[in-house]
Amino acid sequence: MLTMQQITKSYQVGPTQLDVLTGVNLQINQGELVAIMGKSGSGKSTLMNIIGLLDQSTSGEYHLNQKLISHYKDDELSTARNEMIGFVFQSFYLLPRLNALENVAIPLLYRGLSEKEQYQRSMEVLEKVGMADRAHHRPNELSGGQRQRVAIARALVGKPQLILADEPTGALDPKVGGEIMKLFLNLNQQEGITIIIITHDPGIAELCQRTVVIEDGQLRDQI
Amino acid sequence: MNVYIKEAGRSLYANKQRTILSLIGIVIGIASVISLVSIGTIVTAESTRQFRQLGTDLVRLTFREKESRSPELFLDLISQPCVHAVAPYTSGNYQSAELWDLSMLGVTHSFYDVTKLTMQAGRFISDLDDKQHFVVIGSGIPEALKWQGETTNFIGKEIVINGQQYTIIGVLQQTNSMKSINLSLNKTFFLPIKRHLANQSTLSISKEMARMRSDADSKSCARDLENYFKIHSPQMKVEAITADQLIDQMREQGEMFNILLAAIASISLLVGGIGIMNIMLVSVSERKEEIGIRRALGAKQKDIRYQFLIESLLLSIIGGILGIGFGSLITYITAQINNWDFFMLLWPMLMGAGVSAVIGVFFGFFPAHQAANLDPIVALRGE
Repeated sequence: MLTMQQITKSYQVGPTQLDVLTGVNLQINQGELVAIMGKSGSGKSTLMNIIGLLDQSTSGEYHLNQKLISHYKDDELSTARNEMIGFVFQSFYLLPRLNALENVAIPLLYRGLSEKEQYQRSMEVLEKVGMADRAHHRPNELSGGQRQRVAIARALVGKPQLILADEPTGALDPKVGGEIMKLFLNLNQQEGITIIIITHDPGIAELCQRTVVIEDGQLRDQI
Repeated sequence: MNVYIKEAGRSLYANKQRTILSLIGIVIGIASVISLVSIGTIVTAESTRQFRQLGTDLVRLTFREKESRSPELFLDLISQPCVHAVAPYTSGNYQSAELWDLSMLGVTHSFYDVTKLTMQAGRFISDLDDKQHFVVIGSGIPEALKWQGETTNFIGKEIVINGQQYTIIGVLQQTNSMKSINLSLNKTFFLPIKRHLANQSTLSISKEMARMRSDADSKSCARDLENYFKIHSPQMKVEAITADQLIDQMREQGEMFNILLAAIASISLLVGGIGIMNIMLVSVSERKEEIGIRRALGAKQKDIRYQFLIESLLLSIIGGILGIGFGSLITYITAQINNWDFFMLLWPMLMGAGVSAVIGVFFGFFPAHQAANLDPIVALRGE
């Protein structure tokens, strides 16, 4: 469902060219749970941004769901993010002024659904992640683990093909982090959702079916 | 769309202090435009009304150069078919440092009818009084001179005016007539015109008022009156102005003044608009992370642009409504203090509402554009 062929990414910094990705090849199949590992500065974030359609590669071809993404314009990328990708971030990135339900509904808002339908579907996914009873709480009234559950509900609400989680347990203590990982595993096994987790924690990577390591702008080692 | 408005409201509410500060700017701007234009309009209407009190049948004649000291020449103006009453008069000062606002007029009996006066006690100047030392006082004179007692007691009283002794023969009722042509009749001593002329050899008859017949055309009548003097006293320069012309002049001046006021007030609107832009720019840079999150979740550039545009539009419309309210209040209070008839015109309010909306879009556009063009990755880092 996701293929990357010879993806490169370079930045022009003053007179010198900085090559962050130097030819990434990656294939991820429907229903896989894949960990991408790498040290900071390895190009991990850049790869995540390209997979997540937040950034465009300098060269190479990126197919997501049989569609060639590499030459999408900004608006097309927005729509593709909205429909195909669910993001989970290390620091949750919930909007502080909105309650859990409203936060979850944001992707549906940009899909143009009616408010009633937005909230109905958001409530369903909140139930799925065990947060229905906190639907009307604001993020600052929730614990870290609860916030991440709300963020996962937000990633799920648009029924995306791919969930892209960037250090999802990084800001949580190990016990809560473990529960969040359990939730990812459940979603992957029971609902067959494709999940990519970016992490530097080998313990997390072990829980995944496959681990991909990025080093110096290339995927070196595929297990 | 609904969601945008709701969200904009929520964002403005969340930053109450900042919202209120930027509202103050726009409220002051709109309120000053509304109140200045409205007060200006009321003032124009008020002075027009005062002029109408004079009666639209009034013609005022002003004489310059080679003026005459013969009342008969002016009284004979009654021979003109378009007028039914004429009142020439001389004017002078009451010589007193403290009572500088009192004045003296030398009049004939016809002045009484032409200016629509009424007596409180005694009688008015008669043409038979000739050069007698008689005086009729306006209703405000006793108070100005700190006299006590009943008005009727003043009749027969002796008074020294500019070094000459006079007998008071009448006291007038209070009147507002002629106020608009700078005659404060309530604070005036009325002498027989011949007495006044006899007192001062340098004095001459410089003004005259006439009342037209109801069927007369004011323009041609004014011309007839000027012609009369051209024939009988060719050297004298005469200017005849009808009440209609005075009203028109007044209205034109008022309109010019209003435009000027509106232009000055617009500057404060501009300042208010820049205030909104400033607040929106701050808002954009504070909410980079939010913009990044929304972009990641599928918001297009135009979604972000609308979000911020609607926020600034909402801000300026709220400011506009408050400004219209405050502007009307200021106008109302000003009208009350000055005893003017209060009314509000619709167009300054509509203009205020429209202008505030335009300000919202205009000054909100740049910040909204900046927000929309943020790179999602950079925005997500919140830098």
